[in-house]
Amino acid sequence: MKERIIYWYLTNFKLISTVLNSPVIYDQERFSWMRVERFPLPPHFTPPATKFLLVLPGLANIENKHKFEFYLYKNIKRLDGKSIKHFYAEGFYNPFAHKGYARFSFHVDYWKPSLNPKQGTNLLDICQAFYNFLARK
Amino acid sequence: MKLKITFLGKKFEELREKIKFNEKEKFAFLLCNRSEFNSRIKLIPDKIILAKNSDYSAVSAGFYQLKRTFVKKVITQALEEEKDIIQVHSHPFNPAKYSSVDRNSELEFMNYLFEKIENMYHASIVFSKDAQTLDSWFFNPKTRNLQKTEKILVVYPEKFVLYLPQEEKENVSFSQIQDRTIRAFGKQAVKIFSKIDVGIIGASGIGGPLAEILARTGFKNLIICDPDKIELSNLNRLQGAGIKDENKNKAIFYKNYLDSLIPNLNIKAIPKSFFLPEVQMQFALVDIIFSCVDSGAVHSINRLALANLCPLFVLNSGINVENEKINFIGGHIYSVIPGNNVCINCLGVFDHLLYQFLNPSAQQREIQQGYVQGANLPEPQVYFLNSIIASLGFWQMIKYILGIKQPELKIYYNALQNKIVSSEIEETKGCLVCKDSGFLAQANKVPLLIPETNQIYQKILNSLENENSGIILPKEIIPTQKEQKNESS
Repeated sequence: MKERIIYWYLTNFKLISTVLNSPVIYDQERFSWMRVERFPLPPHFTPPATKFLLVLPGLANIENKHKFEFYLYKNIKRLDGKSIKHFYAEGFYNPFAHKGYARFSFHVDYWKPSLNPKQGTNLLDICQAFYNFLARK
Repeated sequence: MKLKITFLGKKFEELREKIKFNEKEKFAFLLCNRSEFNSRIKLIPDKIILAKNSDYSAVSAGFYQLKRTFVKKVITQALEEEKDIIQVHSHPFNPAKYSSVDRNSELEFMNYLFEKIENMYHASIVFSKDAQTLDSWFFNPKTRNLQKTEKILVVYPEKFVLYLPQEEKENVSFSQIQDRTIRAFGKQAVKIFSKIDVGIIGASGIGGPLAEILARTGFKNLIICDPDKIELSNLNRLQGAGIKDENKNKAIFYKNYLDSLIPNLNIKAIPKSFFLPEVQMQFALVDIIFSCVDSGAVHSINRLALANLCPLFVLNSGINVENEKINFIGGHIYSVIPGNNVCINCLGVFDHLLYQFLNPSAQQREIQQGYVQGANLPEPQVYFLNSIIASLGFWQMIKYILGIKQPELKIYYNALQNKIVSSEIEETKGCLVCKDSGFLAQANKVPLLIPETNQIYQKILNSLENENSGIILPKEIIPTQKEQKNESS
């Protein structure tokens, strides 16, 4: 079973890497996080792409949508000068602030994965949902 | 040492159809998943490998001999997939009974395998000609001899069938205490009750009355777990408990209380949290589980029950009071039957409790940011309501194990309106926990669901500190087209 879950993660990483055309780095021991090196941002952000750290459910609790946490490299800005909503650049609520990451208070609504990577929701869906969240003006 | 075998209904029917005697004996291997704790073992058949005509070196109406190549191939597959083995064959007569030839040849073969292979359990089932009766034994590695299988359970969507090995059938005696229960359900039913292992998680307002109902009805084998001690504020609803019982552990209290009421009970009290791995491993071995908790543990219980083919009954009560006015008073019972492809995870009804599996920092953050409402606030609880929910849950289980009626997915009790409403079974799609291709029937191969500690952030920080500890996806791990095809099939 553990092997199947690992296989599921690896297939997901490959999918994200291919679709987003970016290297993907991940925690090979516990599958507790992954990072997309060039995550594209919506047009009203600068820079156009940045590092995206996604805290993952890990091997034991893959079906728990509450486990996901979303962090972007914190030098991002909106081109229209407005502040970014649901954005925690400092340490309060953000354990990775001193590593340069800002946490986004974004929660996954729908998460029904399957061990078959071609069925159920997958990590690319999570990336897409997060992009859609950022794209809301 | 005790060993039981639990089948999913459709797997058992598939086996029965394939193994049915047809002019010649038939043989099959079952590759099984396993749960185990302290010399108690549960095997769950996962794959059926039926011997084809070409796999026999000789076969007749009363005899079979397998080719070594076939046996070697199956054993190799079992080793690769970390499975245990059950060998199954059919006989040309009714009822099912092993012959002396069976005893000698199976003992010799099992001894041979035991010497060659470590950590693989090996059992056997023989079916009668009509495939309606069976007998079973297993190889006990300690005595190096054959021992009767404790029981074989088949979990169907609408009922639960218990098979006992031949010699078990002879010893039946009933206490006078069960006289009126026998008049209600019959001798056979009360015998079944006494052979079933029931697990109760949570020994408080609902779990306590439920345990008493079970014990009085003839369920002798109970495992009760609860880490909490009795507080004065519990005494408004803890059946049997009084002031003198303050500070006693709830699970131990109920064991002692029930032992004082009914003779010859076999109750195990576990005064520990269900989140401890050794506790979950013990509950994996029971036949039926009741969840009587109002915490995120219901998700761990749901996963464990489905992985180990334990029908699960989730019981909860609730009272909503605003400005001293009762808006709602009632409760619900969910019946999660393995094989129905619907469970607590895909229903999503307890998703708000999933936050309890986050690490403590993340939990605190969710509460502070307002994503979790009412955490750690004591809920209103009353004795009469909990007793009603316990009784309704008990009746759902009785309907199921006696095959009286398929239990409804949900029973909803509204005390304000004096209504009990039921919802029928609905099949959901894509739930990892209850689907055949997910955790269902995978036993100890499914990781136990346990809350995280704060170490997780530190581990992520450590790995961010050293960029090289994260691994860039190498090309060689990309699934090949062939692997993808196999996976999807």
